[in-house]
Amino acid sequence: MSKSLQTVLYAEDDPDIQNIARIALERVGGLTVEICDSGTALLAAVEHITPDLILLDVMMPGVDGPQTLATLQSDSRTAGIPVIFITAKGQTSEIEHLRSLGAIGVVRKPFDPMTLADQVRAIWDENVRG
Amino acid sequence: MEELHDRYLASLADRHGTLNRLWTRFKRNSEDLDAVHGIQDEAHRLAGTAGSYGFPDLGDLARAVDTPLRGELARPTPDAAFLARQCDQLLPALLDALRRAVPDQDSAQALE
Repeated sequence: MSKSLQTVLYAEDDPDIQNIARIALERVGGLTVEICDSGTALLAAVEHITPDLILLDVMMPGVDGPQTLATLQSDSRTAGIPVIFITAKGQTSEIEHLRSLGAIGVVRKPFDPMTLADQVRAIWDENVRG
Repeated sequence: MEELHDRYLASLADRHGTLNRLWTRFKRNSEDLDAVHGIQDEAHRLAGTAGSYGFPDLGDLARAVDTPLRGELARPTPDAAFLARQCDQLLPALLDALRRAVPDQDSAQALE
């Protein structure tokens, strides 16, 4: 039987989103969540931990979400970790572009804290668990 | 959750002040694209957070500012006149919504 989603690593620079995402994913969703405040910090974190899933904010100072994904994909140790983008970009073309980069899904901000974990699990179940 | 909501609500006065200051800068100097980048960044953050904290209308107004500014700023040579028109048309509604959302009267008066 396939593994269920348990651990999530999330790169997000906005403290307001970090705070509400932690509540949404941990308290509401029952997941174990590690939050990094940049793409660079996330890339350093995956040297030590292997999460089931990575969530990436798209627009971050320095190394942004797509650049972070490209770096993950270029390393055989991290290329297999599924990634979901979380973005406030709302245009369909932008969402399609993000999917084309190799993410298994895109969650739009603002998200509903009460259903974020369900959204993430649904994408996981559809793309990873099978 | 309630504490986070209250903290976010309290931050709206600062966000209003930041947007107002940046808009004033840009109105004084139409070559100051850093100011427009700042407006777009603040609007983008509001667009991404306000709905999650229970202010969906505020988020929609912020997205209405964020999207056209981001598109224009991504061009090799952004059109300052276009940016100014967008700010003039869209920012007043966002600033008004922020002002109305600010919780206490003292903070609201500070925004006048």
